[in-house]
Amino acid sequence: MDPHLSYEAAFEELQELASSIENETIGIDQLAEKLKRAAELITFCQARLRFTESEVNKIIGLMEKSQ
Amino acid sequence: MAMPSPIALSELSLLVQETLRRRFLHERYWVLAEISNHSFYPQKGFHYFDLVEKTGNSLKAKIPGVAWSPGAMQIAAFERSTGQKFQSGIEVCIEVTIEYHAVYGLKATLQHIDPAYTLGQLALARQQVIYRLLRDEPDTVWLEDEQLCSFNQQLTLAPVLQKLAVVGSLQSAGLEDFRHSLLENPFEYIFEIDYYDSRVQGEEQAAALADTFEKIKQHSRQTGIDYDAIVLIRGGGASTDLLLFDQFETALAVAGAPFPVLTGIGHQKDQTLADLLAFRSLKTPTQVAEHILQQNRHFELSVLQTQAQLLTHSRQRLQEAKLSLAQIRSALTLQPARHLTSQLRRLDQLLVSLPSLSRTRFKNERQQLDSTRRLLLMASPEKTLERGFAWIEKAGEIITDPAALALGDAIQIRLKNNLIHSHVEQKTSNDGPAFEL
Repeated sequence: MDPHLSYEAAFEELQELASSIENETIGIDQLAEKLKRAAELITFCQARLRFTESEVNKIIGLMEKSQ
Repeated sequence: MAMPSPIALSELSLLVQETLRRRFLHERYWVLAEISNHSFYPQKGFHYFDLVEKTGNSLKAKIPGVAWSPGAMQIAAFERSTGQKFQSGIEVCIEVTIEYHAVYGLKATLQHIDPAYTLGQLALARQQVIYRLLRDEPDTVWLEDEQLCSFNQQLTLAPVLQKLAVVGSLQSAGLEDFRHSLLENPFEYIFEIDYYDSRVQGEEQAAALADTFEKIKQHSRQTGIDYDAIVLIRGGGASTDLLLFDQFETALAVAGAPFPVLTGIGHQKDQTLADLLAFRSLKTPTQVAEHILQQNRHFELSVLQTQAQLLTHSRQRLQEAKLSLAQIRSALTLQPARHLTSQLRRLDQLLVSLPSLSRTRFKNERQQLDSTRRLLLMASPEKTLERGFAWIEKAGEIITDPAALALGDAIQIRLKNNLIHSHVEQKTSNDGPAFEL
């Protein structure tokens, strides 16, 4: 996975994959491959969200302590 | 000429005293005068002063004056109702009696004092100062919709006031009130204060006060430090010296000050010119301190509010991202299976439909074959003979072209079950219709 991939780019790709799978515009031959890519993107996005959340909570904690 | 026998000084003064007493004993006079050389003795409660009348700078008349206890009570009432201290420089309208004392000389004793006259004089003096400011300093003081405006009022107050120049008497209770309220604040705000000691009593201090403002300007220029505000305070005591703050020099210094001026001059009744031209005027030094604290508190609260909004928005944003990711994830786990199932169903349908499709195909083919065969059967020679037709053969060949037959040729006429042997005897053309079908 590209380390410079942004959350927004990943999410956008994920949305495109989801809609092409939903509309069945993806060929059966590519289905497994695309689904694998989607799974990777989901893992990436989740990791990013968890990291951001813990960072935000840390900052909030600091802010609340300084009040 | 013989010299009359001299008399003792006391005799003379007694004579003067008697003469004046007889003339003035029952007389009271309302006089207009200016107070000069005023002094007050708090232990006894007596006021001593001179009543003067001037033309320009020269004295036209002067009588020493005194206010004993009854007069001092009148003066106290005057100070309460005007808000103006009884002091040198004020114009008064007072009722006096005239006495003469062998040692202390002529004295006008204050009996009553008219507050309205002094207030009127103060207002008049103030109007003259305003007129002079408008005329001589139009860049610093001007009228807008009949409201007095100043350069200082056009400045912008910083959102946080921390660096302050405080002008006032360092010993005054007002300055102590201010310092205490500001520095002992419950929010633990920190201030940098430069004190500019300046006497804020008596109209003659106007030039000195203007000098102090000039010092503040210079200090700022030299150090490059901008003050967030200049605080002009005085306080302590019920009555106030309005005169200093109505002077031209004072008013101009406040109006033209390069930093917002906050006044807390400590009077309840009236606003001085300094108040009218300052950035903001508060009643007391303590109120100035509270105003500054409030301004800073307002800023802190807005920062805290922004922080709270920031937190809420960050959390919301994260929550939304999590939700949409979860939605996509669940869609993705269901959809491919659905896709595959539908493909399988299509295959199943094909499997089911293929045999019946083939059967139909065979049936069609067979039917087509049958009708072709029937057609062929209908056209067979046997069928033709059966229907009663005949044909001509020559040497075992069916003759379809009459040209192949010549007169005398041996021919065979084939009918159903029989063959008739014959010869060609005659050939004629046959133009008529063969059959009426």
